[in-house]
Amino acid sequence: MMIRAAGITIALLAYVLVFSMQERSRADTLLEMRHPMPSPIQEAALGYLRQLGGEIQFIKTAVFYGGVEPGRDPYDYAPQVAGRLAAAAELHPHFIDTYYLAQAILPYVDSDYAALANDIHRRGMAALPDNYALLFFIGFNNFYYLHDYAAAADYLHRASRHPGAPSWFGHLAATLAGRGGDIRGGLLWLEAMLAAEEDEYMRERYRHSIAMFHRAIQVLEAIEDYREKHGREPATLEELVPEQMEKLPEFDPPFRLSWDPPELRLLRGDQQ
Amino acid sequence: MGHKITRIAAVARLVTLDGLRRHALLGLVILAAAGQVAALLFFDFIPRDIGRASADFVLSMAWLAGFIFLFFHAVQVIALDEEKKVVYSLLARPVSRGEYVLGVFAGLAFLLLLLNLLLGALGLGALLMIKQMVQPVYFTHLGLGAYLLAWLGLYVMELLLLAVIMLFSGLVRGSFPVLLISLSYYAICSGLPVVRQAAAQRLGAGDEGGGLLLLLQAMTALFPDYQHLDFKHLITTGQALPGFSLLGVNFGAAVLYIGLALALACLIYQRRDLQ
Repeated sequence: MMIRAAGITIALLAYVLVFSMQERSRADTLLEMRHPMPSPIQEAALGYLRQLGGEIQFIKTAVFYGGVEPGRDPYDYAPQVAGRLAAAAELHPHFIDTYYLAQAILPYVDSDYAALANDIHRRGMAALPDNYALLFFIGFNNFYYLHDYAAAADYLHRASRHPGAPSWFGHLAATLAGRGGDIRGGLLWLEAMLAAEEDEYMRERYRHSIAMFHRAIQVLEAIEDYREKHGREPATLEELVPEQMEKLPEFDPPFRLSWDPPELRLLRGDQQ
Repeated sequence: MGHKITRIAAVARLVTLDGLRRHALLGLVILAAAGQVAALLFFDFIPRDIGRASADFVLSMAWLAGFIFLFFHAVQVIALDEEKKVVYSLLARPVSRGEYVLGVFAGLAFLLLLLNLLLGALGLGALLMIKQMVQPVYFTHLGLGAYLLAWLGLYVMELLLLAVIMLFSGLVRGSFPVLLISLSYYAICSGLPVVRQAAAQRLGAGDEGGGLLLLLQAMTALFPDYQHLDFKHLITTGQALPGFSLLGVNFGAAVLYIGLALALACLIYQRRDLQ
C-alpha cells in the first residue's frame, strides 16, 4: 500500500516536472500556424457542421495573428493564413468576418497576396451580393496594391450602385477610371451621379470634375485624330498643337493630364 | 389498425422510459445544454457577424448532441435487446416484429424530440441574450419562423439517420458493426455532394463525364444530401422563408425516405433469424 502510494506520488511529480519543461519550451517556440486540410475534405468531413468549421478557421487565424510578434517576417505565416481564410470562405461563404480579416492581413504582404485576398472576396461576393464592402475591398486592392486602376474603377462603380453605399464611392470610381485611361467611362459615371445627387455641395464637385473630364476628352479626341492621320501616337501632347487643337486645355488643380503612349490618363494631385 | 398503434405505442413507451433512465443519456443532455449555453462565450471570438456565428453554434451543438444520441445510444437499442434477450419477452406478447421495429423507432424519435425541444428552448434563450448584449449592427435579425424551420430540418435529418440505423440493425447483428456501417453511411452522405460538385466541374456535360455524373446522381438517391434540410443560414438574415413547394419537396423526400427505410427494416426483421 505504501509502495503503491509512493509510486503514484513519484509518477505524479515526474509528470508535473515534464509538463513544466514542455510549457517552458512552448513559451520559447515561435508561434506557428499549420496549413489547413483542403476545403473539400473539410466540407465532406464536417457535413452539417461546415459553417461552424469555417467560423473556427476564422477564430484560429484571428487568434494566431493577434499573437504574431512585431517585426516577424510575414512570409513566415502568410501562406498558412491565406489557406485558412480561403478554407473559411469556402466552408462558410456567408460569414462576413472572414473577408474583413483577409483584407486586414493579406494585401499588406505583397501584390500576390492582394490578388489572393481579391479571390477570397470574390467568393464572398457570390454569397453576399448585397454587401458593397467586398466590392470596395477588391476595388481598393486593385487601386493601391495592384495598380490596376481600370479594374479598381469598375469595382468601385459597382459598389457605388448599392443602396447605402457612401456617395464618394462613385466619385472615386470616376476618378480612378480617368487615372486608368477610361476617361469616357469616368465621365458617364460622373454625369449619372450628378443627375442623381441632391446635395448642392456634391453637385458642384461633380460639375467641376465633369468639366475636367470634358477637357481631357478633347485631348483624347485630338490624339485619335492624330493617330488616324499619322499612323502613330504623338510622342508628346504638344505635337497635337496646332493641327488637332489650338492649344492644350488647362486643368484646375489637383487635376492634370498624363500622356504615356498609348494611355492618356487624368490624374489627381501628385499621383503617378 | 387501432390495436397496432396501441402495441407500437407500448413498445415506444418502454424504449422512452428505458432511455430516460439511462445515466449516459442524462449526461448527454447536461453536456448538450452546457454546449448551448457556451454560445454566450463563443460569440466573444466573433468581431462582426455575431448573430450568424451564434446561430450556427447553437444548431451545431444540437446536431452534435443528436449525433451522439444516434450513434451511441440508438445503435445499441436493438442490439442490446437481442443480447439481453429482452426481445423474446416482447415478441412473446402479441407484438409483431414489424410493430417492434416501429415501436423502437417511435420511442427513440420521441427521445430525440424531447432532446431537441430542450436544446431548442435553451438555444433560443441564448440567442436572445446575445442579441441584447451586442449592438444591433452585429446581430440585426433573429427570425423565429426561420429558427423553427432550421430546427425542424435538423430533427428530420436526425430521423433520417435513425431510420437508416434501424435498417442496419435489422441487417447486421451487434452494435459495433451497426455503428461502423452507420458512420460509413453518414460519411458517404456528407462527402457525396462534394464529389458531385468536383466531378461536375472537371468533367462537364460531355459524353465521357455523363455516365459518372449519372451514377453519382443515382447514389444521391440512396445516400441523400442532408444540406436540403439545412436552414440555419436563414435565422439571422431576415430573408423570406423558402416557398411551400421547395419545402414540400425537400421534407417530402425526407419523409418518404424514412418511410421506405422503416418498411424495409420491418421486412428484414420479419424474416430474420433471432437465434
